[in-house]
Amino acid sequence: MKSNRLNTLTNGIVKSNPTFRLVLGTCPTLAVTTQALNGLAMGAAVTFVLLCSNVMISLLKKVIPDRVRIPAFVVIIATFVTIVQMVMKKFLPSLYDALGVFLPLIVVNCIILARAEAFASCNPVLDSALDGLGMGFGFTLSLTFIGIVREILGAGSFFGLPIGSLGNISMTIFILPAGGFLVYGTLMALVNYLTALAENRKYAPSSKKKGKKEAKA
Amino acid sequence: MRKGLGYEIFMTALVLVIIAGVAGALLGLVNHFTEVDEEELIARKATAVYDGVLVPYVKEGVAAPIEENYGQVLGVYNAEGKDVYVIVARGVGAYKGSLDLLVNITDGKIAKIAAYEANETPGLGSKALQDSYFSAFYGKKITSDFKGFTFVKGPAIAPDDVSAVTGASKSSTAVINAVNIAVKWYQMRVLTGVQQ
Amino acid sequence: MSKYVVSSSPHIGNDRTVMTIMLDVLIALLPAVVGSVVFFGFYALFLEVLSVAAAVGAEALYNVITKRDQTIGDCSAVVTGLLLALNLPVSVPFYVPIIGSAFAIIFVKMLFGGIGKNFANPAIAGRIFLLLAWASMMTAYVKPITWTDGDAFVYFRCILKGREGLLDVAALSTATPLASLRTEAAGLDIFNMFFGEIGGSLGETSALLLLLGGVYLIVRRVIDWRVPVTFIGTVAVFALIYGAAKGQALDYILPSIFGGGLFLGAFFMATDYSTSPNTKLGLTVFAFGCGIITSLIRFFGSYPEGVSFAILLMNIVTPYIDKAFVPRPFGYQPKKGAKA
Repeated sequence: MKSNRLNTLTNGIVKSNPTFRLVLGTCPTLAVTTQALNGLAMGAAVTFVLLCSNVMISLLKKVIPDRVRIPAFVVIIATFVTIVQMVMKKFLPSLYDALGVFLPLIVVNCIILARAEAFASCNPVLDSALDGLGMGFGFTLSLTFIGIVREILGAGSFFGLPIGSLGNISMTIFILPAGGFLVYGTLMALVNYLTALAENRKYAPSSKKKGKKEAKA
Repeated sequence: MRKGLGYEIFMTALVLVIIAGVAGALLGLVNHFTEVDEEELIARKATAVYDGVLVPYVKEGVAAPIEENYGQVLGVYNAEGKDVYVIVARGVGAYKGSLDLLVNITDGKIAKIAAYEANETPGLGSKALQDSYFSAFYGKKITSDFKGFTFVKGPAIAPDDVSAVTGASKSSTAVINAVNIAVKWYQMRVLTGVQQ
Repeated sequence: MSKYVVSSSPHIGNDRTVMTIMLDVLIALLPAVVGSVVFFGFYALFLEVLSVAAAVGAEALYNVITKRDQTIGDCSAVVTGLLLALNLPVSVPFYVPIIGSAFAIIFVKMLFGGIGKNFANPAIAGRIFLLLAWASMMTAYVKPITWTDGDAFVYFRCILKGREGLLDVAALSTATPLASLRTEAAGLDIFNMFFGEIGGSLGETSALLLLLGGVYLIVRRVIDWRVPVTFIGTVAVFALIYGAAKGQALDYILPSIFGGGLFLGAFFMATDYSTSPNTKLGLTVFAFGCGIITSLIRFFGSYPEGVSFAILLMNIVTPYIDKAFVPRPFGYQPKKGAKA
């Protein structure tokens, strides 16, 4: 039972990482990861909302009538998103500006609705909390990772700290949308390759999913 | 036991109403603690261009904001008893529509400019929002016959030319528009007032 | 052993291979390479060699890492590297062609399965990547150096002192003719645009030298004449219409044709086999699309030059063009009443 719970937690971080394995929430992933800090903040916001909404929905799963569950979920999710938004506007105004419209858009982030629908609405509270936490961590890690790569290549800095004179030769494309797709696709291939390697499965290199990143390149 | 359709509809509506009500109450509570005073926000940001106490500028019932097709003045603050005006100016033509700047005009000269509400592409448009670019405007004496800064691609030739940042001509345009509307406000509301 | 060999088609072959085609392309590019040295000094040659070396190196390395058969022997990487270098301004630092070539080969060509399977022309995609990555570097054109710029050693000084040596003599940053085309066509130096004495990328300045190579390719039947003729013709017609709307109908045609990378794109990049349609009609449509997009970007877009974007966009559309223009089998009659 205990290892089961642990599985629920780690599931979202590696095995079904929302960004690299489930490919959920792609819109904020591509849009806000121009800097590592933005990715981290977005991830933190999503983790908070995911944790709270999963717990809430799991608690209310018996009460919410089946046929209006989606509106009910959206109301609950929107509440937490608005709380995050208000808190961030008050205490972290610069981050609030940087995340822009993608902060309120967490409401329609498919990770949150997907976890609510697929997990929280049919699992006990503790498991739902762990699932939310794990998924949130996975999302945060992925976004920060993408943000670090894009920031180093595109702006020559690491969490806002300039790395030597790298800023002078930084490649702007990596903070443009095209570079977002490029980095996302490449990292996705890398993560999938490494996961497959870890699972000791034979993985033909030609089956790497590469098409996605080039769609906009 | 089978319940009637009416009962089911009633329960559904009731649950939704309760959820929405609780959510609303919660939001109201959080809002109470996190409400941001717009005046305070501006004053806090205005420290980027002026180190001191600023109050909203009111003068003989004349409304401070003006609007032109290239931009508008959203608000003006000044330091009491001093010839210091901090103008919140919006310039159109930016990559994301428009951008807002804080323009400090002290003793009739442009003293300092900072971004107020601007979210241009990092690395490209953001280059037009740095002090290195704003400094092109600094020290300009604003007289009543000053026609505003002119946007040029390439090197500046005439005295009032300001050259665009390479790769950020849209953001540069918007910055110049914002500065120009601030200058225009100053001419209309301060200089003409002095002359009368 | 039987006298008759059972095999699948094709049954008739010749000695033309990927390598001979690529060698033909290289021969055709030779005038442009020589031109780049004449106009911009030996630093241009240095960039070209570097770019080719990086392209071949990247392909070799990829094949080694992924344990595939070595494919550098077909010379296609050489062509990609050279084309990319010809698309660069001479003022770029040495790492620009290296990164550009590596990106073009690895991301655009090899990850999609190597030659014949790439969705876009690697050189075009590499150029656009570099343009978006280093916008100011990739548009910092210098005027061609001439003998009058100093002593006869000016060319060699450039190679000895590298990029700085070049910028010493040719520090004048110059707008390409295209940048001014949108507003004003009169007064452009058509003569120099044709012979190449203008600012621009290494290989695009001289229409004459590119034309020489292009005609060679058409005569050798390496490329289909429809693509360059339709591409350039569409741009010319568009320029005529645009000029007519401005009241100077003829002024815009020649600068539009000779300016920028149109010849380089039309003869050498739009004609890439794997990224252009298979049928003659399809090729015409493809080239027409390239011409329209190029003109639209040049006259109405925010970039002065649109050839590479046009080719990339049409590369992406190519599978759909192929689908729309399926060749009719010989003797095939559409059934009456049947839907096409």
